[in-house]
Amino acid sequence: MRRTPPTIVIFRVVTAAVTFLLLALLTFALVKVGTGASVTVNASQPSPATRQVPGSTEATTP
Amino acid sequence: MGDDVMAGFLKILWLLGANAGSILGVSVTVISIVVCLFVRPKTITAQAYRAERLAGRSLKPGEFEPDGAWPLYPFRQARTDLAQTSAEVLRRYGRLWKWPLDAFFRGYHGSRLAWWFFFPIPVTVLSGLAGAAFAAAASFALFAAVSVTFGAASLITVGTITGIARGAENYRRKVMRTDASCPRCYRVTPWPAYRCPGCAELHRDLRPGRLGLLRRRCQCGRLLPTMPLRAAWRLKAVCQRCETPLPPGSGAVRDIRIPILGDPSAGKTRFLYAALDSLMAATDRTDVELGFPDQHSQHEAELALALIRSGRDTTKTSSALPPPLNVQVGKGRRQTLVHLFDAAGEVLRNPQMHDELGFLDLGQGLVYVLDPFSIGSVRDRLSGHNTANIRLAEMAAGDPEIAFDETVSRLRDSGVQASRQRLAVVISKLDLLRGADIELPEDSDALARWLSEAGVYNLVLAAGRDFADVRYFAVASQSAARVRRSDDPGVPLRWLLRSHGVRLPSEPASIPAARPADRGGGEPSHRPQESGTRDEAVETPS
Repeated sequence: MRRTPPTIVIFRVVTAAVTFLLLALLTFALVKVGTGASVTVNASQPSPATRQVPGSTEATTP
Repeated sequence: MGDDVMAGFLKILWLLGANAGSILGVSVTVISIVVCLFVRPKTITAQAYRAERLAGRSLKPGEFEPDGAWPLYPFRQARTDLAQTSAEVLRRYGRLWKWPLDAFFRGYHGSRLAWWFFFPIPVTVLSGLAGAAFAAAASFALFAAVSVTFGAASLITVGTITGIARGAENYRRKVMRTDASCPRCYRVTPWPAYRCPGCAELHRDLRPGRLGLLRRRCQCGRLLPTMPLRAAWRLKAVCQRCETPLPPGSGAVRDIRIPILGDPSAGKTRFLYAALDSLMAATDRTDVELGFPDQHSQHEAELALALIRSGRDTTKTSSALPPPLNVQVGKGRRQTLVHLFDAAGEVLRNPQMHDELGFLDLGQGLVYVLDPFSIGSVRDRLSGHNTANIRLAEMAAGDPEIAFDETVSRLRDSGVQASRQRLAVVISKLDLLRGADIELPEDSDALARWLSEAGVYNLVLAAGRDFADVRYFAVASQSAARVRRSDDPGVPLRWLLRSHGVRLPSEPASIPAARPADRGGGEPSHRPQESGTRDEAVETPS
């Protein structure tokens, strides 16, 4: 028999599909985390328009 | 200030390269997976798998090659797919390095110094390659994790189901005694081999396992059911050793083997067919089916039963061992295959032919036919009485005790535990004995006492000592239509069959006392029950 048995094909399809799905989810999560990280970095640099109120830990805008 | 600008510039280049490389690395893995699983898969065929299992180990005597069937994916193919994908990822990633190596380090694409003078380009490319390596490795690791998880889960599932199915099968085999016995080489195996209807390949172990749970795929591509219970009526069963075709249902239904032994001319063949005739008459009265699973048995039975029913003599058994008479009692999965071995008495008495008595080793119950006319004291009582009856009896020539001893010795030599077997001692030719004015008791114990007093003391003693259960029967090997109920030759056979769990019609009170053919000379029965069957008369029909 030259043709690969259907059970083997099914196993392969399922394995590949699950792998690709997880890969896509991970990539999406990484991109989202990366984007969020860069936003956080920007947010940590107070803009000139913000000022620190003495005695307070919060930056406030006028 | 200038240094900060340069550092920032390099950082941006590095980030750009790494990000692009990551995308490239993931792509490399995805392409490798698609290529290895779907475009150019390396598939382990059934033949290759068998060759692998055979390699590196030699078959022990009596061991057979593994079956030619496709293994389940997790057992073999998953490993190959993983290895092939891994190699493909490495190969494709290695190819990414070719141009940068040639350009930046080997100088194949212009001056190396020139390339490194514009160092941001090599930095970007090399950082991209590093990112690609990381991404490719990570995504392959994900694929491997998925594959291994699936494989492990499948193995656990398959292992659990296999264990349960095999356990249930073992239990059923133990309870039902569903061995497969070969009529030619007398080999008894727990299950037979089965031929693939497509390519005639032999499958010797159809139990659930690494080749399939409910079904397996033969190397030719045909799907075969697993478990003897499912394969018994769909595939052709053959003997594991000599590949002789076996009756349908072999290995899945109850299988009972009963050798019939005795001295030459003791009346073994006649007893066998008279007992069969009685069994057929008993099953005729109920809905229990009785038939012959093969043409040989059908033909032999028809010939011999015609002789028995017409009151003529059966032919003497050839000293060459014939195949057993196979009888099928019941139908479907609840049927029983009964194999009745009729060996010529000469085989027992000839030491050179003891190797031919392999069927003795596989018997689950024995019938020992004893010719009363071969007992010296009986002959003495008959001298001067009715010589016509003696001539008619064609008495056995040998001493019944010697023949019995030879049989038991043969069993012992073969390692057969007679102490776990039942023995029916059948005193044949009761009708002729009665014609000579010798009446036998009907009870088993009384018959044993009668034999002891008649001088066959050693036989009675040895039988009681060597066998698990011994019963004595006195029968007239006549057609069921002619015989008295008390002389019924079917009683010993039914006792042995019932003791192995075969469901038969209850012992009759219901047999008509005088059947139509009794007009031919038989007297109406006056005995309430046959010898040795009183405790079994409550059996309900299936």
